[in-house]
Amino acid sequence: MAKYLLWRSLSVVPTLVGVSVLVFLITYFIPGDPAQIMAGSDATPDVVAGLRHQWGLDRPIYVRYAVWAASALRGNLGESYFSHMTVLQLVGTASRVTVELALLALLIAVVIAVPAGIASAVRPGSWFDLAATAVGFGGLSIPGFWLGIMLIYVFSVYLRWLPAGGFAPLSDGLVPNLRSMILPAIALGTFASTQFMRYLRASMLEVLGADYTRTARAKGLPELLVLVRHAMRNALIPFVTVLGVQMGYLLGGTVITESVFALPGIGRLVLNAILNRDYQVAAGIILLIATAFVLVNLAVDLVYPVLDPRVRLGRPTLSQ
Amino acid sequence: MARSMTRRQLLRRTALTAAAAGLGAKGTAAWAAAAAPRRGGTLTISQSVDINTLHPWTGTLNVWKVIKTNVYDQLSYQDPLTLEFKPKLAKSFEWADNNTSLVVTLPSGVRFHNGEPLTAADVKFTLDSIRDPKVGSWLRGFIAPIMDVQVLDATHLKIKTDTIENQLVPAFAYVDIVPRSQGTDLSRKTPIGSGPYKFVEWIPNDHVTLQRAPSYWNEAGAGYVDRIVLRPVTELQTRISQLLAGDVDLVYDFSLIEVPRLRADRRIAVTVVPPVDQMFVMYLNGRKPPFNKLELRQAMGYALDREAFIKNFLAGQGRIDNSPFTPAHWAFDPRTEHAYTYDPDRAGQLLEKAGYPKGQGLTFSLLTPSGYPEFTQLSTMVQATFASLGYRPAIEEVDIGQWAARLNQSHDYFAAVDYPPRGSADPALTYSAGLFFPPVPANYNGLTPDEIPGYVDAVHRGATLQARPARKVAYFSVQEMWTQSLPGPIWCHRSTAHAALPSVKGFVPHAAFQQSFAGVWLA
Repeated sequence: MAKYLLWRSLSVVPTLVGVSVLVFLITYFIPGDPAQIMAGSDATPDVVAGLRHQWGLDRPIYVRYAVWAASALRGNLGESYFSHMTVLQLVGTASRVTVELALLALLIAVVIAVPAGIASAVRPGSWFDLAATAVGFGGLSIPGFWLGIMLIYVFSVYLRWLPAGGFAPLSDGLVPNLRSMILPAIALGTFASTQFMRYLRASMLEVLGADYTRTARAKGLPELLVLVRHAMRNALIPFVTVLGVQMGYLLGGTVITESVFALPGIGRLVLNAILNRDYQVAAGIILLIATAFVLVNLAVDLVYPVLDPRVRLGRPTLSQ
Repeated sequence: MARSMTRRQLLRRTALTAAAAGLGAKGTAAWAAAAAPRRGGTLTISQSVDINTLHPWTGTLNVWKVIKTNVYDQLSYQDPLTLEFKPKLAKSFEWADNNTSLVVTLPSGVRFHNGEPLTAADVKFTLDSIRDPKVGSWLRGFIAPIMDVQVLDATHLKIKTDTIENQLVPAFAYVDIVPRSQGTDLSRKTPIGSGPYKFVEWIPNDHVTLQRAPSYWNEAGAGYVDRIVLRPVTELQTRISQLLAGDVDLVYDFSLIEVPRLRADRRIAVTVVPPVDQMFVMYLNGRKPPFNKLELRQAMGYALDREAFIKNFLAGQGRIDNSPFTPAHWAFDPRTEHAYTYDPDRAGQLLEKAGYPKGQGLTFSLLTPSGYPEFTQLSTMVQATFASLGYRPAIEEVDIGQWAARLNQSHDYFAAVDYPPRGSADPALTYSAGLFFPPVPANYNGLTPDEIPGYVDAVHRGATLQARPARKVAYFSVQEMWTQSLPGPIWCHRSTAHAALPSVKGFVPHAAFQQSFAGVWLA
């Protein structure tokens, strides 16, 4: 078990080094020039050249990478060319918004998907299953930005129940905070909920048809117990994997949702950084997101042994 | 106690009168009832992008210009109604020493928001810093004629030049006076100005907050609302929805195409600024074929159906022009009015004359920045005209950073649409600022001082003569030379549009984004 945990944790290191090189190269090769953006199109080339020198953009790429990577190892991801705030300051402020949004979206997705997925699997072919499948396909087909705009029109412009974008921090109170986050969370969570639902339904159907479930039923266990103790626990293993991956996608999906709802989160921060060619901020955030993605998946892998004793004992699973 | 009418009262009264005239009898009563300004409240404004710096002399975005106008004082300002440049912080400007010195008189008792007194030494520090190439300010060219700045006493300074320089007073409207104790590394500091509003905070991607300065040296120019919160909202539909939902008070500068829809909505008031300042132009790279040939540049002048462009893509909110100025401007040359019209046949003849019959052998593309739909629409219309003549130029859509770098640094482009400002400025500034009109090495079109014989002299005459009739003659000559040689076509002027809740009063939009909110109050 300890060996498994150590091996799995160490495997993260080369992944992160590779990610850092890739992230730096990607931001480096994006055409454009932050100095030109800052100076404006009316600025003479000497003004632009002065800014490039001031920001170290005229140094060779390997020097820039070495300086950046060495700073990153010391926990310093640099500062924005424009606002002069450190990347960690910017991320610290913006991540509160994004993490809250992603968690709320995940919560909405799970709250919708788990009962709907189980109910569909328990009564396959029923009217509920057919309706849930139809709604699920609808949810998968609707683009998030369109859904966001529609939610704003209905709940903000016409009904005036909720604000049309903008963020109220928790320091303003829980209710204003939730009012500002509910529509973006629904817009972001809808797609994930339909995916979760369909995945859980398929997983439950497979488990409900398995020998051990039949055996449980044959033993005369109540149906609820069969579902909760035998079926659900096994069906949740692949579902948890999907949750981990989806959390990463939810974080990525915030770029559009935050733009539509004018939320000052990581998504907008990274989008603006890329548009402004604010290399330090863009590279820093992408590295942090990639690290978070890798760590979430590591955490998911570490949860496996808890859910599946065969992993803990190093035995092969059915799929192996 | 009898009081003379202040500038702001005059502006407000003029705006109210104009609005009342447009609203009719019922509207007049409503406006009259709400005509007594009151203090207090928070004005929430939605802007299309976030600011990208706190440096007053290097930031170029219009959203930053708007904020700076309220936080800092400038020596002069452009009146939003008459478009004339007038003293703001300065009490007066007087040419002295045989017209080689501009004496600026400042009021006494002005203080920065940090409590320090504003003196002539701070103005000298500001001007000297902007002139310093190390600071990297785009305003350096605006005040290039300054040879030296001398402090005479706390409220007087002398700006030395070779001769009268008409561009200086208009240029001072862009120069934000900063306390010398702050130094020049201003992008890392909270802005300290002496304007009617104090800068409180910038939370990137969320908001900028300004607070009414507790005491402003010019009581008549002090703000009414207690706080101004400016929120960057990139999605246009979200911005409009925020206004319709009552979450913001004012949507500042939105796409003209939305004007008809929003005008029909009775919950909000739409203000459209007349098309006088921002002009659609086409940069033509004359450093290389094909636009090093006069006939090709002229063919481009005939290639755009401007009427259709304005009607379809600017919601009719524009004006066809061939000059940087409109008839509202004293320097406008009426002979330019019909210099170029939409005439594909004429363009075809010019192609043939240039050695490209039916577009054979022609190679060029149209460079546009993504995120600027009007640029792409204009380019598409030009593309269609050339396609009908036998050659279909490609449209290269690149991001704004790459677009600017290719125009400015590598000159790797053939033709590119832009909408530079300053059509309402003094022509001395219009022709000396930016990289479209002045024949400097970095000129977008590759325009050199010798390219158009007499152009540099005429521009210089207009910039240095004092009598307006003589200046008018000089600038008529400049406009004539431009339309003949056509380094780059000027297509039309563009309006700007703003929308507000009916509770927002006293908002007088500025054509050049030097937008003061000091006169705005909430009913």
